[in-house]
Amino acid sequence: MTDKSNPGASDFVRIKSGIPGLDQMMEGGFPFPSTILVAGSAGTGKTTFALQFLMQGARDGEQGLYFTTLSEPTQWMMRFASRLEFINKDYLGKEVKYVELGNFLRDEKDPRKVIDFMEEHITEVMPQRIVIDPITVIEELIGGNYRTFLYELATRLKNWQAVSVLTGEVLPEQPYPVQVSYITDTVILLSYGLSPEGGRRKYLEILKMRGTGHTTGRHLFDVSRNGVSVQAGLR
Amino acid sequence: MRRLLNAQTVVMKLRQSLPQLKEARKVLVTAPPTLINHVSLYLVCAPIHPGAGRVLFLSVDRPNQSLARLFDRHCAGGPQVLFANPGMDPPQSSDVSCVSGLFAPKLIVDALGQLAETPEVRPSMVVGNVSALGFYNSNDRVKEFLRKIDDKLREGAISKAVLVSDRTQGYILSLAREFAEKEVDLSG
Repeated sequence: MTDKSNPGASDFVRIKSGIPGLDQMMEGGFPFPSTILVAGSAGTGKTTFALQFLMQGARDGEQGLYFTTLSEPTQWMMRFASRLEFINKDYLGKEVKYVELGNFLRDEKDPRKVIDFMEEHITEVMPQRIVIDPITVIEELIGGNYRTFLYELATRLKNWQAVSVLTGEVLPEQPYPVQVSYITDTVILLSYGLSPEGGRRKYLEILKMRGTGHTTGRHLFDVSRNGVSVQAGLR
Repeated sequence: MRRLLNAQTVVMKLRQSLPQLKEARKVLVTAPPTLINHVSLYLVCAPIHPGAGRVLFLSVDRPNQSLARLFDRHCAGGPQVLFANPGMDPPQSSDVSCVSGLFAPKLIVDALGQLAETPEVRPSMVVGNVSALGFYNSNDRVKEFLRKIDDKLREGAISKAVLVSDRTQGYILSLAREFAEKEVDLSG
């Protein structure tokens, strides 16, 4: 196979997001490697998104690593996650490994040491998929060093040769965590809107995606025990 | 039924291919892009390199600092690893010398030029991920790069060349296939 006619062109390797309806909005999946910010206010489905992403990887033979920054034990989180139909418990602890970053962050404020801690785990596991959930909590925990942390993270993320999903918590009136968006290749926004009947609807929007033609605008999505699914084309 | 490819299965396939990898002087190993790092690391440390087992590892798309951590973690008790940047310290006669960067044609000339000053070294060379050369180098430049590796093999500056590549860049893959005597396909 040759491409002498268009020698400058190349395509990304893409991996499946695991979110029904999303891959067709972005040329078939996330570029490998790349970094993705999934931002939204409370309850919009960010953690569910991240878990689906990792479970897809596990099904595809990829190793996943989940850093949780909240100070809650893994079993507490899994108590709720285990109710989700797409969770395959056989993968937990093997193809999908958990690291409780929150406890480490309580004692350690030096951003480089935080990233070194993360990198130790990444080097050991050599994951193809990484989740940091949520990254915005780190700002509260390490205070004035957050900018340094993000700068350092940006550099190291590119070297980890994985697709990294960072979830970002925002208040309803905030669009997305701007500082984090600078260091990511893709920004996906999850938001609420009102339906004509007065109820709440959820919307997904791909705001930015480097090197990829993507569908724009807000699209309805649903979160259920089957996970997140996007109804691309429905606005 | 298509077999699931993961790090364990590719390492198993590599182990099964060790005799082929050991025998040929010019080898191409094709692997899924998500597992290139695993494959490159294995090939650098595997017992396939002739003579004293010295290896020059040209890491196209991963910097030395990141590689150092990988070697520390996964090759403990294995080869001694030295990192060099062109224009700075020359690769020494250590077990593994790592050179990294996307502008490979210049790198290879610098790194091998310095090695030629210590002719008793004669390392083998591992290059990965070859397809990433396409980000910054034209196809003609990549062709020239592979020709230079061939020249170094003929001159005896290196004893063996192992290229590791995914299949994302069709023309570069075809060049690598023309170069190699043997191909080991781990892509599934």
